[in-house]
Amino acid sequence: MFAIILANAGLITVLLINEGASQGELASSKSSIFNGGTIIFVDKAAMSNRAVDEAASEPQIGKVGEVGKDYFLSKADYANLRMAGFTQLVAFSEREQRFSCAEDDNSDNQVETSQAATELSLLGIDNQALFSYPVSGDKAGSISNSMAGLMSTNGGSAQPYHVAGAIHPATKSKLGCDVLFFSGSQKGSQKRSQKNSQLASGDSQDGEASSSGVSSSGASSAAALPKGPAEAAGKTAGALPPSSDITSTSSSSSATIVQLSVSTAVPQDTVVVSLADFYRRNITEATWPLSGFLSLLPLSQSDKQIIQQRLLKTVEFKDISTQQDTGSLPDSFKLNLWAMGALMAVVALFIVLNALNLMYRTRLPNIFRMRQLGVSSRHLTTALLAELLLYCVLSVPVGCAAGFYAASMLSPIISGTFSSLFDAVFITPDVNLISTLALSVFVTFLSLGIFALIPAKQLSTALSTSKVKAAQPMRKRTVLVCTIAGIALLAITQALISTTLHALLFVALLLLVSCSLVIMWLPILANGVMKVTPPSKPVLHFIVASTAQLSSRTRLAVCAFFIALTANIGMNVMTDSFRAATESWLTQRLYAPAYLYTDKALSELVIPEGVTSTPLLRLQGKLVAQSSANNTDSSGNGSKSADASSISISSYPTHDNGRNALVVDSSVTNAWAKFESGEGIYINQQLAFSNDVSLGDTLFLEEMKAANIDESSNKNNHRFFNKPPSFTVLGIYPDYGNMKAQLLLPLSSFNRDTIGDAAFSGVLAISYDQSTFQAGTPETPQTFEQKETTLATQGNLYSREELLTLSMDTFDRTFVLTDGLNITTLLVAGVAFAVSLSILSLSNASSLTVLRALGVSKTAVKLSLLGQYIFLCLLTALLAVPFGIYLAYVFIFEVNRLAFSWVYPLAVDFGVIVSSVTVSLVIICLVIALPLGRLKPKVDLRQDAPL
Amino acid sequence: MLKIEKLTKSFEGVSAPILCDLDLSVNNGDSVSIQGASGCGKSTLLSLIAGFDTPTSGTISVNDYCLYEGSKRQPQDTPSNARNLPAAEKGIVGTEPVLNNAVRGKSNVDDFRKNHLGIVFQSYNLFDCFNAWDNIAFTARLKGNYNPQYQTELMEQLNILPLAKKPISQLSGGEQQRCAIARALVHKPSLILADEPTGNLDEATSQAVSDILYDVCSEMNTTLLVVTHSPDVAQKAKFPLWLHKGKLNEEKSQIKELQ
Repeated sequence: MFAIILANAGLITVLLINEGASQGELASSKSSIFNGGTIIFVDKAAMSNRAVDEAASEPQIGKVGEVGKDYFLSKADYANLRMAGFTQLVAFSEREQRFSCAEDDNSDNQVETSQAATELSLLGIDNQALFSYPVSGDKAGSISNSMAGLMSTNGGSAQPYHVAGAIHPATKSKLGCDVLFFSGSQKGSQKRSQKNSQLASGDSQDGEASSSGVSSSGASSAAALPKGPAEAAGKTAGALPPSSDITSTSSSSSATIVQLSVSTAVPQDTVVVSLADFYRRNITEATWPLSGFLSLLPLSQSDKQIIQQRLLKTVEFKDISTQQDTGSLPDSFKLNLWAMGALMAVVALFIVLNALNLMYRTRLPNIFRMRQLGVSSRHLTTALLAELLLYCVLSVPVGCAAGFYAASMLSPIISGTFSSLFDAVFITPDVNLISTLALSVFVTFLSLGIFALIPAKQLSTALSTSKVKAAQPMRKRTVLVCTIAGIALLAITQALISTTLHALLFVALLLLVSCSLVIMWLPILANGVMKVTPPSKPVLHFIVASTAQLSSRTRLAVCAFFIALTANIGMNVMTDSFRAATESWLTQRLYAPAYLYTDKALSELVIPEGVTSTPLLRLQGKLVAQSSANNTDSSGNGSKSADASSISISSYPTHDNGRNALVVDSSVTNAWAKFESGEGIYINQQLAFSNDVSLGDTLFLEEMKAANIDESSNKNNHRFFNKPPSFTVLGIYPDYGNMKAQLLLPLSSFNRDTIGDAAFSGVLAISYDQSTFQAGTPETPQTFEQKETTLATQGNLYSREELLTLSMDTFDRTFVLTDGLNITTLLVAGVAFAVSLSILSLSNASSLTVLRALGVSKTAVKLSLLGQYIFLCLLTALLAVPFGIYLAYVFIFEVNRLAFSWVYPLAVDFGVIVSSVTVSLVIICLVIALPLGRLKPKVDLRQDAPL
Repeated sequence: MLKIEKLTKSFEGVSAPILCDLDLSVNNGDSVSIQGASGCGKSTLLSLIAGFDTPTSGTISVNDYCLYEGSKRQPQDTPSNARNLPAAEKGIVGTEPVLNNAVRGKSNVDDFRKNHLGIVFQSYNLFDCFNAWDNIAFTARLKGNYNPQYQTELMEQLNILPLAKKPISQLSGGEQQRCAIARALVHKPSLILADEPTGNLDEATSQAVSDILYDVCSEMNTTLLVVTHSPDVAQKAKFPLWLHKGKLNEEKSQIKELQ
């Protein structure tokens, strides 16, 4: 019963963690209220300089509100614009605030803070404007609905001020409370504003960034973001109230309590309140001006000009991209979660089957007696199944409750780990109870259904009380034939794989076949080991012999453990191979010492003297046709139409560094020379696999357009390229992490004069000309720093090492959930395995008693039992290793190829395998440590003494 | 030689000791059979001699090994119905065990069983993970005096040599019991304890097995202590004894009294 509870609890836990991670990922990938709109704000650089100049010439201490007021957006400006018909504008202001979780007690106006303060952005928005502009449906509607009672509920000065606020589910999950508390003080921080706006613009990967091997998380939007006015005002007057941490009980009149509701439209690490609640008490427009206006729809060029004219101020417009608003999970992430859930379901199935089998075996002696006394097998079968059904009915809700409890206990830990270590999002899942429970019930009763077929047959012949014939292991020849047949079946089936579904079904078949083979090979292997074990070590001999015997009794438990361990080894080998391939590829591919990520146009960039920059240009096009190098078409032209799939066209430098950095899987003769001369292109694996493109094929693309041009261009390519490119495939290169098909063209092929700015991707490879920084000259460090600063002011400058670290961090973050779920599955399977072994071993306790009677010490008896477990576990692990490696091979070369269109070399690191096996052994040892410690083998001549 | 003096064994909650000042002395190579009513303490006596259990008081020594020496100790085994009684009502006698230097520590009891004791169980208790040969060889291998030649001779004598490679589950009750006897003898112990060695066997097999047991022990100068309900088996011993009211008695009148 414990095993059934455990299986259900494990299944529910894994499902809930799955759900929490996917909902977290989904929530973080959804657009915030800022996405798809335009932010209007004052140019902070200009404002800052002017404010400082004014402050220097005319000190303004004590007149914060007066300083630079002409350089901030005001409510008057807001009214002015709205009256002019810009009703899509929503005024907002934001500031830094330290929040504490609070337990609000209205009776005595005391606010109990329950934990340390957390710094978040407090964003005040004009919710009335948001309500009245019915455009963004889900986006604005979501936040508006969640803030339906946004207006303050009281305003008495003697009581804490109650306001309604909205928060992102991921942020709420991190905080772990529904009510926040803060004092009237605030903290200005340019950095925070920058970060927050980054969040507003989304923080998820897109396929483009990965072409250079790095995530573009916010990098492109960080350069020109609206910044809060705090810094300028603070610098000039220093009169803003100091920030303070609010962590103690307070009944201060300045205390504010925020009742939180959840909305994915809210940027992360932000609390949204109404503008009226934002400006209260000592916070006024004079001390804290508006941060800007948000246009819920993108503004056209003419709208921007009108706004500029009406405001009579230098304002900037920042269009927030909607590209990152996926609203759905990446395929790789979904596949990971799906695979882990399916794995746990299969493991749970075997665990329940094993538990039912153990219960049946325990009852077998009584069943024999009853059959002898005349009870019909039909009655016995009915009674047995009714009893097992009762156990299942009782166990499922208990297991589910335990699973829910475990998941709720683990959620804050997982969430904290995700956010602190990996900057990933995990939220307490909002699940459909019925569907979750239904899966658990289905797995349990499917096991019962399968098991019901077994006793019905066996009970009809269960009349004999003679010793049950010892399970004879299959003959080696039979096992060998079965093994060859199984491997042949796998080989044939593998050759037939053509879709992702086929690949996944093949994984299931692989696990099934390997399980069957393990059941057959395990006793043979154990007997083989027994034969080579020296009989002169009688206790060791006994351990090995007992294990061989145990191996045939624990088949179902072995299956569950084997599947979990095989999957663990397979996933670990796959992940390790992927990591090694990615790291090696990135290390080679990032050829420049530094990379600049900027939002500026290419022509606006100021590149210091002595610095060489190589821009990354990128276009989008559609593959409309392709012709094969091996002309087999009956029409003779050898070309065929393609499915007009979208392709990313990237520039690639033709200098020596670029040549050395290009890692290719395969290429034609003299590929680089042809590439340099513009005779052909390199394509990534994704393009090659998804469109079945081979070396020498010619690709025809149309509908080229650049990302920075709103309207699609005409169909001829002359506008983009210096000469009509032939698009002959010269080589295929790996492009890990990129979901898009991509081809590389020499940079010189792009018509930079016409499309330089439009096609500029925002990434610039930076190389420093060493000749301008001659060693030994005292000016060198300063000069170098100055040049770097010049670059850094125009965007985010990353060194090669920083990018590599960032990329590998992103990589690790992607797989942390898989690892966690994998370990959970292994843990559940390991526990169930150990429980099964314990039950079987204890049922065979007389052997241990005899050992004691014959003079074997108590410690040796305990060790012999432990030895049996470990030996069986090792044997299972030994068999799991080849299948785990095979599974990794299938993951890489079948599942990855079909699901993501990329493959990478399989790298078998035995350290990884040993660690997987060691973890499983540790789990087994830990699980049996407790019962083993309590084991007291007591000798009795009549052999009925329990252990 | 086996020497037992003033051996007493009490259980908590039971007023009368099951063994009371029991004395027994058996020379090497002699055989003793013990009969008695069910529950009179026969198996308890064997358990005490084998070191499976500890006496309330008294002395047990086998050759140089003194298992217990004239002391009183708190009983460890308690009938289930007496476990919850207060200490005063449990009839606890004595306080601390005083063990002889020779057997201080349980490992020495294990050594005694491994080196000097052979046990024949009523239900054979062979390891079903081993074949007949490995089952028999186990004790000799454990003791370190494994001698295949000697084991072959012993198995021939017991007429089980052809069964050497067979799994235990394929042997009959009589064959299994002969294997158990061989296991108890193969490491050449100085004392063999047999608890109902023929209890599960038919009469003919019972006679054959008991004959072998007595003969081999006699040949090997091994002391044999047999607990049995079978008068035939008991009568083959040099000293057939009766256990009644906690004491051993040579007179048959005791059985009549019981009847």
